[in-house]
Amino acid sequence: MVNQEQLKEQIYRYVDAPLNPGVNFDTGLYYEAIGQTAAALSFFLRCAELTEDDLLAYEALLKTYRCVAKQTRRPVWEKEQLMIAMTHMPKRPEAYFLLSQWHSAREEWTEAHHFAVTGQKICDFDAKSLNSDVGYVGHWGLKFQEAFTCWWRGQRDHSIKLWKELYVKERIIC
Amino acid sequence: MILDNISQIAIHNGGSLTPLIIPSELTGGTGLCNVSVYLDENGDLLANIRHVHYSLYHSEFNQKFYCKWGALAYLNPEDDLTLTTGNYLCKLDRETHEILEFKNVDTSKHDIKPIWSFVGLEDARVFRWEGKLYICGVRRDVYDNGQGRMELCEVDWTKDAIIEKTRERIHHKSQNYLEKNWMPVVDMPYHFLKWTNPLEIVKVNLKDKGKEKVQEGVLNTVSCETVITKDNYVKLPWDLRGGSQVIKIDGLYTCITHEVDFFHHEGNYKDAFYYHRFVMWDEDWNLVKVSKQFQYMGTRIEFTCGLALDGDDLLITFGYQDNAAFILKWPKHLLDRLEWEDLEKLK
Repeated sequence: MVNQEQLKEQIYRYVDAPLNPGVNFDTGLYYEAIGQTAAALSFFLRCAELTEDDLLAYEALLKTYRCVAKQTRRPVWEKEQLMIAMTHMPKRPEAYFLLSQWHSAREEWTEAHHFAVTGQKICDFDAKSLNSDVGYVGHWGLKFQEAFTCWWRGQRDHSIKLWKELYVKERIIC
Repeated sequence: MILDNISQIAIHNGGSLTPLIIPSELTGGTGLCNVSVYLDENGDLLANIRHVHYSLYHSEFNQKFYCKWGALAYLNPEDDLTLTTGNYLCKLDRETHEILEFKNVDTSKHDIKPIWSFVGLEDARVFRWEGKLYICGVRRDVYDNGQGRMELCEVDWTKDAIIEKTRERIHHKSQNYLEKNWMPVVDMPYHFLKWTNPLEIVKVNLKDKGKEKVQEGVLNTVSCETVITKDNYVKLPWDLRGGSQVIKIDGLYTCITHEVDFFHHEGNYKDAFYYHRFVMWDEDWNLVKVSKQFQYMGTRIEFTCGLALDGDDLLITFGYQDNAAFILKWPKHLLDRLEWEDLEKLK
């Protein structure tokens, strides 16, 4: 848990390098860790704007989503922010997974299914992992979402097949 | 060249910068900002922190990542389109500036149903006049057109609660649609610096009380009148708007103002940059010094509501992008590190 002194030290690092994307990202992490998600949003967004590293910008955009999602009651913004992230790096799986989850939470099964299936067809699953938690559970997540959404779209045999594969290959217990 | 990060100067020259945090379990994580600071007569260091029920999204620099609503957007709950403000009054540690104690200001005694989208007392400054502790800011929620008036609120800080004891809406015979950011003159009870350039100071007449019927209730009002004006206009790029309280520093009345470069990008997307200045007057309110513009932490939206003097240090409180709150200890001698306008050239 971040304490006041640690946060202050990080703020000093920021003040000495306010245009450094990594320092902005780290400052966002400190604020996120104590639930100050509005403050974290500011620093993650600065990171995304400042960096030339597409992957870091993508991760920072997902962090902005995660911060605001934690505040709840901003669903339209959440969905659009995930689409912005996905557009920025369309071969990364995290945004597809989170968008699929976002739709399935609202029982929008067609859209949830679309992102689960499209993500599995498009994404590069050999790409290196992100450095922080953005709510991505791992590569099995998209298949899980496909199984879940197929169940509600009249494809129960296919859904059962996927659940079995998840159980056997990934040891996912639903 | 604008001095865009005066906090860096402070932390390397005997000053400090301290984040002010109210636990997210109470705030939901949304913005803490626009803090006011006041050194009370008994030595307590007080702060009022504005809590907004939104997060500000501001895409800076190359602006690659507009959100759905553009480069600058208030992320309020989508099922509640109001921009709602609450206030936390705090006691700070005079050494570390960390929060020792805080309470949400209970406004229920005077609240009426809000009928405009900006709800609550915004950008409240904290100060004590004639023994009474006040917060004073702008309220815009009592008319359906967003008319704003300064409201002077006496608060009662008890062991268990902080209660808004009185609320008085200030009326001036010459008032605009939106009157806000009046700066209380700490050692001149009931005086506000209403306008900086040129100077206009008003005095509230607490004896001239009235009532104002509005759609959802009846407001308590007091009048004020202009008591000091000066023909001291200087040419600056933008209006100087109110910020901190006005305090005395080495015999000079001193405040920090803000100015806004508000503009629209292509596609009618709004955006704004904020700048600040120290402004100083002599005992007779003749303009003496105006600093050049500065920013606190290298970001484009910051807002100051507080200035206090504790020994040889200025304490400056501000909000960062409406999302985070800070108190800056600025050793007084560092005023020499600022750049100052040549007022003769600006007349």
